[in-house]
Amino acid sequence: MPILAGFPDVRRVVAGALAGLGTVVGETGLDLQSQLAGGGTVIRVRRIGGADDRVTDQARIDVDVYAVDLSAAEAAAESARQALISGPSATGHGVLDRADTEVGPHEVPSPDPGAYRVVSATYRISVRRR
Amino acid sequence: MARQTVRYEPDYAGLGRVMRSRAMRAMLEIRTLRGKAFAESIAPRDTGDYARSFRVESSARGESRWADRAEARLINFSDHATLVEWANGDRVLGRTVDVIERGR
Repeated sequence: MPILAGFPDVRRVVAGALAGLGTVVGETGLDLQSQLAGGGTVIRVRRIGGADDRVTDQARIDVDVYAVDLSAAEAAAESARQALISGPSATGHGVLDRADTEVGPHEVPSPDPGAYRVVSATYRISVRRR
Repeated sequence: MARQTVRYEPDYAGLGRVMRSRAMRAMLEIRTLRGKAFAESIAPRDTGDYARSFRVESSARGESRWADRAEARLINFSDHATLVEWANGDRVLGRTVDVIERGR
């Protein structure tokens, strides 16, 4: 029985689609505030669920946008939404076939609201093998 | 081969009755209760308050654009539910959606 090739890492595919909108990370680190200094934006991409139908990996993905103020975070989150749902898009890590918004961008509690704000959205992302 | 024509007339009123039926509501409750069990199993425990604070509610009709169908809701009523979901990054309810969707 031939073993099928692995699916592309959907987090990396999403990160590729969002390149240019900010610093895309898998986890925020201790250097978050220095990354945000000067008006920078940090985008965290995280898989929280989803499954495949053997052909397509349909991942549930959180896209969290960090910025020093809420308006900047909201604007970047909306740009990220449009970058995703306007696809399909080819990235260096694979092709993002389709993105559906499950929960649109909304503010979530920041661990340090005086230093930065967070806007989160959840998408269903479809990717296939190369 | 003889051609056959199939004519489909959607019965929106009948579909609405199905979507608001007791059976539909019961199915949603069962799935949501499975989600509750899963959420409790992955809930972070410090005082235990959060893990004890899940509740399932249902109604024959949802709200706003979901008012045409039955609804079941998994709720955590702990004071720090929002922080557990978002600030701590546990995403307990978000990760539970898969279980409710699959129904197992």
